[in-house]
Amino acid sequence: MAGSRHTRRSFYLKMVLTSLLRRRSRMVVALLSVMIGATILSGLVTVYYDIPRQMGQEFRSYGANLVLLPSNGGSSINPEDFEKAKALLPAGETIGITPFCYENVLINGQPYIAAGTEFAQAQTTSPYWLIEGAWPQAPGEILVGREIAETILLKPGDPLTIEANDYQVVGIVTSGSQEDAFVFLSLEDFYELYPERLFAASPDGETDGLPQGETDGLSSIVLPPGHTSESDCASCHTEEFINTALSSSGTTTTAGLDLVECSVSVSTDELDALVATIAEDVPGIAPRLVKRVTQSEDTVLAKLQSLVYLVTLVILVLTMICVATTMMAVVSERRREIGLRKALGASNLSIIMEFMGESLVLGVIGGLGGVGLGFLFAQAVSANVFSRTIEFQPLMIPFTLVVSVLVTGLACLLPVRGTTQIDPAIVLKGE
Amino acid sequence: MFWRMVAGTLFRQSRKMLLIALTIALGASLATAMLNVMLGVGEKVNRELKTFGANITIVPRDASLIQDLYEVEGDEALPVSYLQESELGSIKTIFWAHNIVDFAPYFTTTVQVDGQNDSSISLTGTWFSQHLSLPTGEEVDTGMRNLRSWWEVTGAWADDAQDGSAMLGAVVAERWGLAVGDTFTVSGTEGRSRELTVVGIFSAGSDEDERIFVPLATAQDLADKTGLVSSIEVSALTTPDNELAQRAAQNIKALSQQEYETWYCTAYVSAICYQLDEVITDGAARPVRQVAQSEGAILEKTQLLMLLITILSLVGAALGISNLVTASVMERGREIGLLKAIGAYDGAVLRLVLAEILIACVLGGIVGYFAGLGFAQIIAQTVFSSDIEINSLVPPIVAVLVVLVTLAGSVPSIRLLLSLHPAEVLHGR
Repeated sequence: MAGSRHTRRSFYLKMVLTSLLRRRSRMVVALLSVMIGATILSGLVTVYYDIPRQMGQEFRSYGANLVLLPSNGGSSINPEDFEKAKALLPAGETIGITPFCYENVLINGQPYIAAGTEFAQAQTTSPYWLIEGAWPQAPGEILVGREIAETILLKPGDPLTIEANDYQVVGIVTSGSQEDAFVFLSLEDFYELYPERLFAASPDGETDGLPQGETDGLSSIVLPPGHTSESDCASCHTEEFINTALSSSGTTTTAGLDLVECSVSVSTDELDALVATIAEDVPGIAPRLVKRVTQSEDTVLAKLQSLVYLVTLVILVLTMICVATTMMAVVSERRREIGLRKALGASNLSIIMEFMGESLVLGVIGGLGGVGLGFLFAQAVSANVFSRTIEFQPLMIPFTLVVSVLVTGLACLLPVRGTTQIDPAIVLKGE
Repeated sequence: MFWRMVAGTLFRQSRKMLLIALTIALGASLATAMLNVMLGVGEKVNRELKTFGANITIVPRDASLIQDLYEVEGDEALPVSYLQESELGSIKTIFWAHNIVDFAPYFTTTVQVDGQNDSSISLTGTWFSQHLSLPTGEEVDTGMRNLRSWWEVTGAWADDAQDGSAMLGAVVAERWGLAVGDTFTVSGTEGRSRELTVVGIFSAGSDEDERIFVPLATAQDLADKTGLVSSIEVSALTTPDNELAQRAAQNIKALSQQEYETWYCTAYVSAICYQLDEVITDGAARPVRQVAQSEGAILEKTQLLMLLITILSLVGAALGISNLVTASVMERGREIGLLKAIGAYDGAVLRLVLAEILIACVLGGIVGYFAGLGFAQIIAQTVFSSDIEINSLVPPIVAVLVVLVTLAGSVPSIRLLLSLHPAEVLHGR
């Protein structure tokens, strides 16, 4: 009994395999069509799943989507709070965190605004700045807004004196908005120019400064304990950074940072959660979403995603039908064979099972090939469009295999069932 | 005889021919839909990106941006220059007028609010949603409403015709405890004072939350500057910058006459700015790089993405069609062998089989083209809620593609069958 079952199984395998091997040209056609279908399926689905992340990162070219401001009652963000907030931002998704300090400054008798910032970070949160010349690298090198450069005829390489300190202009910034009337210095230069802006006491009046070394980025500018100054918050609108900069231009404010721009590549929901966390954990900071960027990004990103989704859907449906028609064409060619086997006494079930076996083999081989080719396609898209690599999703293997086996199976089932229901004599006669 | 045989095949083997026509229709509809979507997507996405607001600002040439900063400080020492309100309509008369989606003038002044501490605040007059009748006979609706799609407004948007209505920033409203429907009094220059009614409170997530927005006439009246505006925001559909646009932005005079014309007649943001400068006296139009630059980047990425997806689907459709055609020709081996056995020339057989397949191909292609248009419209309607432009380039591309692919699928397999001996073929090899 066991032996007969074994023989039957090996006979079944032999039938399926020889059918595939003998009818090589037809099988190549069928296999090719399954593989095309599987390639499109796995390629497009991989791209579709990767689009939100990739597109979201593209939208970061609009710059910061989250700003940190001093909370009500404080005139500036103290370095300790800044480090705390920084630690709360998801490290992998954060494109840049740029601190800013503002002061009024007179250049050639004209009033402008001097901004202290970290240039390496500013490049990431303001990728749209057009820099004529270069970004500053060394201390003493500064960027000058287009407006100022045009008014006092500056070009990259020129020296510029601000309040008796000499600087070298290395680049001219054009942004088309208020930055055009700013002078950008490194934070170190800024604090050297405005020593009164150095952080010495937290806004609520605690006089003990930060332990040295606890803050890494800003520790160099923290003064030893003992250096205190009065906080003057009665008249400053903390929400508007320019106002803050202007109203704190006196010497009486304690200072740290006026504004921190953050560019974080996460969804709006996650951003909302982030805002809530920072507001709760760091009372000295009021995080705000830049609605212009976040709201608009939501709208446009949703459109782009539904575009890719629909396009993927249409292509997949059409391709799958196309694969099915090819399979049907290949199978209906074998009507005679089916008729002959029925005339020899094969049951409908065994014929259907044999065709299902063939489609399983075709589906698996075609599907595997398709997964590989599809990944290559997705990789090419990602490299060309987004200049990034994508990770291989192992889940795509079972998914593609199941879909391609199902499509081939169904496509075979229809013509085979149709044929098995007809009298073998009629089929064999060719009518 | 030839056509009788062709007709015979088409009718008697209608199932097979239908399958071929169906596959070709599927492939053709896929190609049509994807090509139309790909060619039309740029314009659609460009329009969507307008939600990020204006990409050009016009300010008076000599005052430009410093003035804003001054007014925040309340220092009126510098001579302040303005643009003329009467020239606003000419924005819609420039070469690229059709690409101007929206524009809004702003008049910003500092006012004191009666009965409040720390009462100095920036008040901006603007067009919220203004209807313009241009001298050219054109009717235009424009205003700030479309340029601030991200504002969350409680209450309603102010009406331009209603003098004295005001929209308050959320921060100011909270500070002063004002709600929709409340009134308050502001005083501008030389003791001019007005009572304003809060019609809406907005949350903008920027320093605008600390401002009051009123109809343009109200603000001009408060500052005694009738007919003047301090800046204009323009939202325009633009083409992403290329090397020519960058050179033009640096120095227009360095362009040759031909380059200048190409540049002027392309919707680069710099060309539109240049044309705006021509119609607005003493105005300096500048691209807002945050919007203009990012727009270009996202537009290019989207188009490239769609291009690659389209290529994939075209290759898929092409392989699918030629694959099926090959299969159906191979299937007819016996028939071809029989024709040869009774003395048909190779050429005659080739013509016969090709004619049959091409008829199926043309029928399938036509059906597929229209089905594809349907798919493209479904996609455009669902995603962008507007029809996609039917590109006249698509039918020839699809026709050439389908015919080439059908020939590529059938000719080699027919030739293969013809090269065999009829006896072998008839015997089933």
